[in-house]
Amino acid sequence: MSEHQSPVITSYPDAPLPTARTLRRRQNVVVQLWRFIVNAGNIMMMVLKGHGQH
Amino acid sequence: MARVVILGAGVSGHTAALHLRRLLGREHTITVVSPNSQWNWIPSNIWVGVGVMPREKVVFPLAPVYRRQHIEFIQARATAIHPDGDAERDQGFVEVEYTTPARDGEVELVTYDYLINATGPKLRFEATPGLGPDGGNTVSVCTDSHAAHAAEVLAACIDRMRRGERQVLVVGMGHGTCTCEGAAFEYVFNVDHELREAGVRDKAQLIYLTNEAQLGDFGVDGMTFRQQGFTQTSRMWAESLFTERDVHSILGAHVTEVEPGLIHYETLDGNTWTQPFDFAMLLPPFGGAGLRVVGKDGADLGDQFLNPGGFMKVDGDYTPKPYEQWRAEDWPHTYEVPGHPDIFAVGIAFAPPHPISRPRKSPSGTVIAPSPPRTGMPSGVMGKTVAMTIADRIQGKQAPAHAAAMSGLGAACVASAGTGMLTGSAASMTMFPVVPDYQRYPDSGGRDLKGTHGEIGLAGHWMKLMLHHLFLYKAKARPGWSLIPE
Repeated sequence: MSEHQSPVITSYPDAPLPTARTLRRRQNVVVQLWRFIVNAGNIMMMVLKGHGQH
Repeated sequence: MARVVILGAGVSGHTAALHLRRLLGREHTITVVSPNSQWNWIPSNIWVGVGVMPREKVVFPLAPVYRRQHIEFIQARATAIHPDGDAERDQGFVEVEYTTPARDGEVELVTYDYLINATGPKLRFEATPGLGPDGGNTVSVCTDSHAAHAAEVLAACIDRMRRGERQVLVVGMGHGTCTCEGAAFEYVFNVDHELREAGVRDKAQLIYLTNEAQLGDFGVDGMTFRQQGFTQTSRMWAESLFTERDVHSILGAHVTEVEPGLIHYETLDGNTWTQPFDFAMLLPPFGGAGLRVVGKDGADLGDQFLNPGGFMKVDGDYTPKPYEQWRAEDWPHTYEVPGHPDIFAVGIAFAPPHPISRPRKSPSGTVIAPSPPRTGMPSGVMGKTVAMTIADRIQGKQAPAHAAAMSGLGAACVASAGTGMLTGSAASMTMFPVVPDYQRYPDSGGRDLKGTHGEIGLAGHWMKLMLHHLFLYKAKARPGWSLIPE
């Protein structure tokens, strides 16, 4: 085993952390219902674009 | 009348079989050869692996589906391809070895007019001594049975925490050349979620051990997103999530051996380390299925058809070249084996021309870099694409082969971070293209920002759950299955 400092990284101090509002938004049913629709649309666009190669 | 033989009944092979049956009349025979009697929706194995979904929910028997679809099913392992036949026959054929209890070990020769190699990966636990659930010291979620076993071991670990014991849980990659970092990412956050639900998170040190040089690489060289007017990267996004959830990480690691309770590994700086653990889920590296390719005269044609990993070479550019000269167009388009318009390889079975992530080695020469993923959405699209090409050829259409290059194909990845209709969450990501094109998109990480998105939230969990039900429905070939895109 190495004598060097442990490679286990316990946190990333430069990474931005979500605010309490962002965390609430991530679990808010109404907001997330809208995001679900938007994300489903993004995936469908991806499918159509990719399948376009045929 | 033609016979199309498909080796493998995973996402790409099964998709190809269903589409071929849809496209071709009953006078043509579609034959699927698979050693497994069941189809497994592998993305949901992570839920089985934390004990929130029974394994019966992620599998179903293949035989009834194929019987209903008039697809011949041979439950056997393919062992050799004879692309030009042998001394007695001119037609190409495959050697298969039955895996059913009644005919176990019996060998049969299956002739074909067209062959699709969709054999998927060999789980190479043996690449790392002590890795894996069968005789090793770690668990896995690669198969439904592995995942069910992982859930039992995790439950015992949670019980120990409930009794007040502190535990170290390590989740990640069991070798420096593993792929499917997204699956380990999902599993670590599902474990985190379950520990919180059990009220024992404070008793656990949870570590993600990966061969990625930085978080958010996912084996695709990371992603760049635009969100609320700012450019963000998957690295920043992942680092934020790991910090928020207090999941620790070990980056750029190649596991060299796993002893009971101890993981030995080397890092990109060349140092070696030992990490104690109470629970470890480490994925194995993938290899080709171990097929031999035999010439008409009995000569071994492995060098001509397969790369050193055992994956089948198709229409990609396999010329060795440095990272700076890698190009998106190196990637295969039609998945046809050069010189053999009757043979195709799709999904994990085709040989990638080079990795997607930047290649890295430790000072001792150990390769520590993710292998390119070829699973999920692209895998299904490849299966459908070669099915269309073969159907055209059988029907005598003078059309060029259909194309589905990963350098022109997008992918959606929904990485679960915990279950629950109101408490669940997942990271939803889309990327276009899968293989970055740094010439075409030089300022956005090789991808089109209009097609590359990422966000975390409850909606992601709903999406993952919806995909679970949709793809199982499609794979069972229920009415309207072909309307569900790959």
